[in-house]
Amino acid sequence: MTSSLEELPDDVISKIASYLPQQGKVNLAYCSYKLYTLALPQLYKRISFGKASVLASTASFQDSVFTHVGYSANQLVSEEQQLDIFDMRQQVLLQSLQINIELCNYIEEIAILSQHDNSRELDATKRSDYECLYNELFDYIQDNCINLRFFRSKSPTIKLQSSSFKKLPNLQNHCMFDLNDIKCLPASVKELEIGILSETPNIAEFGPTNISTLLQLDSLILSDDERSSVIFLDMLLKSLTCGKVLNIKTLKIVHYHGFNDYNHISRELVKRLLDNLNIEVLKNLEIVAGCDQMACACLGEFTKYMTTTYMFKLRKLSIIQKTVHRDHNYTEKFDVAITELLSNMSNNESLAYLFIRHSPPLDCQMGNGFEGNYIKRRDLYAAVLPKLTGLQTLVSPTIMQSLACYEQLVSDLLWNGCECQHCTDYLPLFDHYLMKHNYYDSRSGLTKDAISPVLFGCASDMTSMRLSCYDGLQTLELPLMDRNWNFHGYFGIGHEDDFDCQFNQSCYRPLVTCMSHFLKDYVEELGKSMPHLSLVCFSGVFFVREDQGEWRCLYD
Amino acid sequence: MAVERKIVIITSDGERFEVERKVAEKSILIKNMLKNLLPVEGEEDDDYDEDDDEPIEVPTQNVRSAVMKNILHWCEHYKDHTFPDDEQDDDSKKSAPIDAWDKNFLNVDQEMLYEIILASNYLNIKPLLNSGCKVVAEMIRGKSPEEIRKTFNIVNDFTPEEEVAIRRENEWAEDR
Repeated sequence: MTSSLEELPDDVISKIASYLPQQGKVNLAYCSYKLYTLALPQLYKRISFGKASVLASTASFQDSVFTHVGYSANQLVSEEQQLDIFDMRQQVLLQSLQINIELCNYIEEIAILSQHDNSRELDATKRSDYECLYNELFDYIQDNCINLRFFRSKSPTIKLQSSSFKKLPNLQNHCMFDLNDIKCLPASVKELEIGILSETPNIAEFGPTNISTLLQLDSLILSDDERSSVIFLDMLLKSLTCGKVLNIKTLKIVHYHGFNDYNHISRELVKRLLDNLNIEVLKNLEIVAGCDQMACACLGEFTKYMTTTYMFKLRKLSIIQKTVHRDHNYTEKFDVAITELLSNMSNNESLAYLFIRHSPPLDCQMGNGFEGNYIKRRDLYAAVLPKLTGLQTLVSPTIMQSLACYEQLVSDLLWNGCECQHCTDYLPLFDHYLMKHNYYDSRSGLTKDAISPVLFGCASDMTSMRLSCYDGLQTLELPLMDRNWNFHGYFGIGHEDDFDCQFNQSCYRPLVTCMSHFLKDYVEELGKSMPHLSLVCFSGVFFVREDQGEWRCLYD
Repeated sequence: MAVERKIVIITSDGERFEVERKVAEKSILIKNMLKNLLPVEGEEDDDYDEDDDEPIEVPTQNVRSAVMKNILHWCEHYKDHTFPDDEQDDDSKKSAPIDAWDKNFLNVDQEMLYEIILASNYLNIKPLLNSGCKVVAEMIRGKSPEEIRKTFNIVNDFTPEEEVAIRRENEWAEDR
């Protein structure tokens, strides 16, 4: 008979430890020597770095996947102190790895988490995500952690050096900023991401012998940066000898038509790449799509081409809008194209995961934001999504921001919203907030009274940043970050000097709860027509379907 | 039409449990064992044997009857449920909350919980093993080292110096 936890087999104890959040792993390690030896490998196995704390939850085990090095969980600690804590944690980790070299063997994955893009920094004087990282630590990890399998970083400053490849026999992924890395890429690398290439290489140097590793790739993530993608694809397609096909399972492509039609080269290269793929094998696809010419039909033609030319059997699909416009009409055009794609794809039943990210303006001041336009878009998705009969997970990190662009809708939420006790107590407070605050409207150049789209737009932009990586296919595999907003900043949101403002981070979670009640109506409506849907993430707010079919919000 | 042969699972204390094949096959250990002994339904069985009407006996030396009863209750509940392959969505499965039925099913005393975990490990029933480990993890979560020791009968075998050293070593990961 087994009466103590320690009597369970080692692999079972390790499994239990793997389900613990990081503090749980630490506390288990402090209990006895045996538990220390079993919990520690789990604590060091996957480490993430980023300027935030982890979103803790007793409802799921999401916070047990990575050990996070970042901010304190205390939301009222100042930004300056948080950065000091972040620095200190990195230094202590480095010291521990240097003193007990055995710990290095436990590290299998490093993930550098960043906010979505630097334009969202609230204050230009702050250090960027990557500037807060301790280079010496990452150099040490590359040199000593021989079991490292994944090094996830989109930063050109914190990256794997090609000189480290020989020391890392199990390395499975690489984000490439220099095309010459291909020449020494180890055969173990199965996932390749193209970053912003530092210099233009001589393509003639790359022949079939150099690209043998590329033929074995499982995953190819092309860069949003057009120049880099064109250089890489040009090299790849020229090197592919006749009849060679790539057996890629995960692919990211870009179809974008900007003001000048210089993008036609990359669009053609993407089509040629697809022709050189074994489409049967492709399971996960991310498409960055957009057309910024109102009179052009290329987006619709592209989706039609995709559905009529290839017999996809996808399991995961991610669609990301790319546009410089803030007008409803461009987004509606995008929506029509992608709903056509979803309707006509050959794999409506097998698709289990769908990620859709729009590009609503950050201040949620959209042109043509009338209620009728909202209804058109809502009905479009309501008609198409139920066709995806096998869908289990739906992620839309920008849905609340998109809804906030239609002022009538979010004003209705604020004034006549959910009638539960929580919303009855809190929504009037946020109405009071709007009355006392103003913001800088960049379009008119005037400071104006704050309005509901600004409030809900900023709040939901912050919750959507719980998803630390802006890629659609991987986002739920990384830790969720705890984000808080102090109700000021963004577009110079402030108040009169004589107003004694009590709004700070502590008011943020109650507002997110109000938003979650609003979003739950959409989730429940979708759930009725999508029987397998079990997880929905709308702007960083998570809903799971319980056994009885009821939807439950996970964190808010 | 051929009648499906019954499976009899014999526990360490000699008790016999007669179950349907699909219930027993929730255990990958038993499934693999049966694959060699019994052809899958629909496949030709050329070597007809007089013993074909006899139930197949599967001895499980490591599991006592009280535990097996619980295990088979779980297998019966999920007999028509197909669990996804291990390769698919490993991360989302790992971080998913414990299934509500499993949580209720595993609401037993600590000793029985350990035995269910051990049996599911031995019989290779991964979804039950995962749920069992998640339940124990939930019991550990939020507890201090002293509280964990008390709850799980663990003796602190660190010297005070060692304790200071390991605290310093892992200070970077402390959630403060």
